[in-house]
Amino acid sequence: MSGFHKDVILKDDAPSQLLLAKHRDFILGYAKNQSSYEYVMSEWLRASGVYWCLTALKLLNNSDLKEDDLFEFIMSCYNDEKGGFGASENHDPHLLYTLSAVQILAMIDRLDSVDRDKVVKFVVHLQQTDGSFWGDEWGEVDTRFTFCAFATLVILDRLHDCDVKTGVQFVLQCKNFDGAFGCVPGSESHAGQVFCCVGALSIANKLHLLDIDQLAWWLCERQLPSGGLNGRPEKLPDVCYSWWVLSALKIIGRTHWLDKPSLIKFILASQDEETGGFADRPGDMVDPFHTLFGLAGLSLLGDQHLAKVNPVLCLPQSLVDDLGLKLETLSPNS
Amino acid sequence: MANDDNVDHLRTVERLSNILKITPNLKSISIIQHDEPLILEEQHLALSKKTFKELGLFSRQTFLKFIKKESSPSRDSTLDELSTVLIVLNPDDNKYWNYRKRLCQKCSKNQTDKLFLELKLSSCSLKLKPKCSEPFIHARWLLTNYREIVSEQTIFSQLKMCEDSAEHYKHNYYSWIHRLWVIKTFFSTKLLEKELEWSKGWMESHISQFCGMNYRFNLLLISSAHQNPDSDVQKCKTFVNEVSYVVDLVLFYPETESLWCYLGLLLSYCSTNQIECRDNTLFRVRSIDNRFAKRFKERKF
Repeated sequence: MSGFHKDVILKDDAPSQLLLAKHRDFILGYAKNQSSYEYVMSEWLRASGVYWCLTALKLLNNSDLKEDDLFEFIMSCYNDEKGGFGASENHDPHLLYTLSAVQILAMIDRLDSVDRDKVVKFVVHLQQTDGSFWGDEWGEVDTRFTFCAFATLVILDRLHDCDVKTGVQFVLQCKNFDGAFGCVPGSESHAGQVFCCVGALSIANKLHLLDIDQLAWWLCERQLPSGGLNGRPEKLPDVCYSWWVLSALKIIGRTHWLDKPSLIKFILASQDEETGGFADRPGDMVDPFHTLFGLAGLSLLGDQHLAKVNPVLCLPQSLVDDLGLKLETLSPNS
Repeated sequence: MANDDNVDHLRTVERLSNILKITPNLKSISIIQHDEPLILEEQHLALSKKTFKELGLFSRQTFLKFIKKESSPSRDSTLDELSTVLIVLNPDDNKYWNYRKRLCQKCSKNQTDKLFLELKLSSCSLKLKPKCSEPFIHARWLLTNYREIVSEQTIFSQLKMCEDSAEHYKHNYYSWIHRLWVIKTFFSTKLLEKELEWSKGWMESHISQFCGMNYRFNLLLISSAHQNPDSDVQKCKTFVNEVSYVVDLVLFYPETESLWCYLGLLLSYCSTNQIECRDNTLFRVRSIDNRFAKRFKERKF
C-alpha cells in the first residue's frame, strides 16, 4: 500500500474474540514467578505494575487479588518522612508512583488509611513557579508529572491545594503548532503526552483552551491501515495507544473520527491465545501494561463484557462515581 | 548463591566498573552469546548473555545488602562499583542513579574529575540502552547543579551523546529532548549556527524521522527570537525559506509522512504569524496524489 512502510499486517487467523478468562488467568499468574529476572529487574516500576494488574482485573469484573496483600505492598512503598510513594520498597518517592499508589488505594477502598495531608504536601511541594511539576526531589520536569499531580490531588479531593492556574499555563506552553503536546516546551508531540495534557486540562476544567479539531486531527492521524494506533508519525502501531489516543479523543468528544471496527480488530489480534494477555502488537510478547490498555481501549470502544472505564483517570467509572469526581469531558457536538 | 560464584561475580563487577570508568571513548556495549563474561576489544565492550543476567541479579542483591550497612571505606567502594555497573545493566532503575547523585553531593569543589566521570558513565549507559531517559536526566542534573563542568568541550560531548543515541535508536524521544535542552541552556549564536547547519544534514539523511524536523523547527524559533525584534521581514524570510526547502524535499520524497507533518507544522506556524506561504505551497504540491497529499490539502491552516 503506497505511503505506508511502517505498519503491521493482521493475519487471517489472528484472535478475533475477547479472551476474558485467559486474561484473568494471565494477570493472576503474573506475580507468581517473583524470582524471574524480568520480575526482579522491573522493581523500578512495581507500584505502576500492580496498578496495571489490579485495574485490568477490575475491568474484567474480577476481585481475586487479596486486598490486604495489595495494601501491605503499597504501604511498603510509602516514605513517611517525605509523604510520597516510590515504585517499591527501596525506591525514592516519585509522583509517578504516588499516583499509582493512590489509584490502588482507591480501588481497594483504603484511601482513608493514608495520611492525606502528607501525600498532598509531597505533591504540592514539587510544583515550580512556572506551574510545572518536578517528578521528585531531583528536578526533572515533564507534563506527565502535571497529570500525576492533578490526578493524585483530585482523587484525594485536594486539587486546589496546588496552583491549578499556573499548572494549566505550563501545560499550554507544551502545546505545539500541530495542536498536540510534548513533555516540555518545544518537545515533539507524542500521544502519551497528549493524554497527560488533555487529562490535566480535563481535571482543571479547562478543555475549552484546546483547539479541539486540530488536536483531534493529529490524534486520528495516528491510525494506520491495520487499524492500530501509533504515538507519533512513522512509528509502528502499539496497543497502548488504544488508550492514550482513544481516551484523549473520548475526553474531547471526537472518538467518532476514528475507524472503530478496525481498531477493535487490531487490539483483539494482539492477544495471545495460549497465555492470555495483550502485547504491543500481534505476535509479540504479552505483558500487564499492554493488557490493561488493550482492555481499557476495548472498554472505551463499548465492549459489554468489560466494566466501564473512566477516560481521564483510567479507573473503573463506578469507582470514580463513588468518589464523587466530576471530570470534564466534551460531547461530540462541542 | 554459592560463595565461589559470589567471588567471581564481585571480580567481574570490579572489572566492569574499571572498564566503564577508565576506557576512553567506549564505542559500544553489546550482549553476545559467549563463554567469556567480558570482552573489551578496541573500545568495543561485549558482555556474555549469561553474565548480563546473573551479574544484574547479583549486583542488585549485593547493593541492597550493602546499602543497609554502616558507611566505611570498603562498603562505600563496593557500592560505588555496584552502582556503576548497575546503571549500565539496569539503567531504567533510578535507585542507582539517585545513589550516584548523592555521592556527587558529597564531592568537594575541587573534585570535578568525579563529576566528569558521572557524565562519562551516563554516556556509557546509553551505549547498551540508547532508549532510556535516566542517563539524560542524570546529565541534566549534573550540568544544572555543577556549572564548573560546563565548557565548549562538555557541550560538544553532550551533543555527540545525543547524536549517537539518536542513530542507535530511531525516533529517540529522549535524545532530542536533551539536545534541545543543551541548546536552550547553553545558548550562543555560534552554537545555534552550527546546530542549524547540522540539523539540515541530519534531516536530509533521516527523512523518516520527524524528531529531527521538530528539533530544527525549534532552532528556527530560537533563531527568530534572537533576531532584530524590528525585523519582521527577516523572520518571515527564515520561515518562507524553510517552507520552500521542505517542499523541495516533499517533491523528491512524496511518500514520506514525516516531511508532510513538518510541512504542516510550518504552515500552522506561518498562518498563526501572518506569514503567507500556504497558496504557493499548495500550488507546488498540486500534482502529488497520495494519501498524505490528500489529507494535507484538506487541512485548514
